[in-house]
Amino acid sequence: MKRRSFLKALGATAAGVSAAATLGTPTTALARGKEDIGECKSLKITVLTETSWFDNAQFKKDIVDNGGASTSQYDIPWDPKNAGGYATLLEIEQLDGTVNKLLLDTGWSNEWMDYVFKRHGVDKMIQSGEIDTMVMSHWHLDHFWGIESTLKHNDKITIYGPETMFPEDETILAGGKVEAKGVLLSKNDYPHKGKLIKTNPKEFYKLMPGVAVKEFDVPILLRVRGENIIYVNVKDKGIVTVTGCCHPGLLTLYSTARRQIKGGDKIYGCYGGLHISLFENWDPKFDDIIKGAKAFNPVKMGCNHCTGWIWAENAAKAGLPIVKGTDTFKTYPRQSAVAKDSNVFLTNGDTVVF
Amino acid sequence: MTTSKNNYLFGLIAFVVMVVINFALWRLFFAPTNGVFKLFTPLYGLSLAAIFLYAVILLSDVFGYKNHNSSIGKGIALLAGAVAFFYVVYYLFFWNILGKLGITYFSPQALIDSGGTGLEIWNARENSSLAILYVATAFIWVSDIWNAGMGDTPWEGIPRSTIGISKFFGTAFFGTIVYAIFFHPNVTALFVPKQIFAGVLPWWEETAMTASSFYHLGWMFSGLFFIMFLTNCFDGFPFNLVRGKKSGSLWGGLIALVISVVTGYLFMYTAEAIMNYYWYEPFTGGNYTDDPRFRHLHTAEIAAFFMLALAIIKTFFNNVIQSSNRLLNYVARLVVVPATGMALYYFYYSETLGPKFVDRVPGVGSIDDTSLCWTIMSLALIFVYDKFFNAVLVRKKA
Repeated sequence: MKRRSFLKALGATAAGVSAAATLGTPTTALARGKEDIGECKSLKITVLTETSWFDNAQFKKDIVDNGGASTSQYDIPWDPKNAGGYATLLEIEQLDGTVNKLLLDTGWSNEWMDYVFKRHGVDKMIQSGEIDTMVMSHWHLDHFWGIESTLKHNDKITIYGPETMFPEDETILAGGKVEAKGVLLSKNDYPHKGKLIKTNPKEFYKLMPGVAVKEFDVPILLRVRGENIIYVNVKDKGIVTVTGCCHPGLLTLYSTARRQIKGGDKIYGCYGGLHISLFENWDPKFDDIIKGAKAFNPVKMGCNHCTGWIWAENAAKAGLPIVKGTDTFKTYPRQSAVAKDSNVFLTNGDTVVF
Repeated sequence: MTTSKNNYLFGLIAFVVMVVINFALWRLFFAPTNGVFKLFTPLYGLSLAAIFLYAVILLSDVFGYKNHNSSIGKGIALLAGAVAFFYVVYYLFFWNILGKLGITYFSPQALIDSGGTGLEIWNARENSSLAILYVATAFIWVSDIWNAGMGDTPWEGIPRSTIGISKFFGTAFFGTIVYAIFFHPNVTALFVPKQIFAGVLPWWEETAMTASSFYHLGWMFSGLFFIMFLTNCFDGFPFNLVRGKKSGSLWGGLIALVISVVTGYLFMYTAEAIMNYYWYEPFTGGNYTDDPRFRHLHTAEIAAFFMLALAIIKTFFNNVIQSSNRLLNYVARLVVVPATGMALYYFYYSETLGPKFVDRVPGVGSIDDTSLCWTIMSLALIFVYDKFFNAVLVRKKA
């Protein structure tokens, strides 16, 4: 809708009187300079695991039976047999040729994550210090509750996590366990002793040249709040977003890059869960995301996890550059019940280079 | 309104009792984490609250069953009638008759049985709930416009029960048309493939930047606030100018309709201009505060806070003042009602109060955490107290 300027002025005046107390000051992004996060030569992604759970129906049943999407994840006695996890390995090649490794998230089931880390040698990378930093995208069960699988190899690993932690998150990180209705949800026998950098939405956290973490303070289902996004600026290509679930919305991430990152007007692509048709349903909003994404002209889009196969298929049909996966996931001991032969997901064991 | 001398004091007492009842019922039915039934999913709970609000409006304003004698017994009977109507309409009529024998999307079970893409209990119930919410909105919107402008026209002077039934069918007729034009196309677009032979593609999509009928929810709720405001705070102006000694007129109905649409759009325009100032322009496909759906829904949410403020001020606090100087009365209400509405907004979205009292996740912008459920439930409770129990304690018997 076109807005008239006089109404904006009217709005500004009215807002100053009453809404300021609630909403805080208006967004200041335009007023500040753009953030220079530097550049890297390339980014290689390895999908360690994107199957957070294996049976969508069981996962939904656990939610519905316990009160719905706004119920705390810590109040639901999740079916432990359905637990998998989400974790990604990032290999960032710097302009001088050195390669830095970064872990995004640590999954849910320790049994599953132990298998995944061993399969890809991540356990040894953590032990040796080759991976010394983990970015926690957010505090959802399938991204965080498998923390023991990481800390058992190095309890001093540096963690970047959204500042909006709940007490139960702190308990697990500190080496405790959490139960719901007699069901063990998560346990961690290796208290975290390293640095925990609690991220807030005001800052860009620059991890290395070309890589920065930004937190988006959004309320998320299952009573979680805030998500960290990894922005990678690949020289001569543009911005790539790497996400756990992308709750803030892919287009919001792109839009933020344009407004706030030097060189951010050139969008190259994305990797990760995009949180669209999570439960394989449809809504006209999902068409809007396809239309909106096309406007940014991305070159390479790798998606999986909570993106929804149905959305990825429709996006590919609509001409978005969805990177196809392989059948490597079939060599993992378990597969998602919703996996399809269309291979529009980058699934377990796949890689993509930006 | 006939009020007792110390009505501010009694109003305050009654208001405190209402607050306690409100939070007790919220915890019992809706609260997402520490509630008993946890019905705020959110659309299931929201649609339940909306149908109950419609049941109260139907009995009191359409059928005209009001309790002018402050009889507790009659109040309980009316409340029981509203609950029964709500239950029968929601679970029997929508879920098991209309949904299973006529329009599939009104019944979660019928949707599940259809076997369509993504149609399991979660999505099916939310989709059904959205449709039922839209029906309730259309019927409430039409009923309030009719009551404000037309009163009992054209059936003035005939037995009350006949008027009630006639008004019910009259409002239901127009309510169904409003639903079909403004809401049905959104619901039919929720399925794979879009049900284009049953409903047109949302015709407002380009203007609203979304196919969602939250766009219509935005201006309709806003218009309803102005109708409520004129009726309760401005002594029915301007409808009173054209109704003579009757309760309303056809012209009054048309004026109410025009006012509702025009003020609704103006309010939405202004509210969204303020949101643009804070959160930039929304864009197609954006999430949270960038989502045009959220902006429209948030307009409805703000209007609902204003309606709730109006109901509180009018029912418990003597409509601000009731002096012989009408202009003074109007100005006082014009200031106090929006200010109270913003105070409620602050309460709900506060980082500390909202999570503590209404059990919400802090932050603004989540459609899954809409404030409408709480405001509509609160409005319904105040209407029950006001219309079914004649605001006992505050108001004198007629």
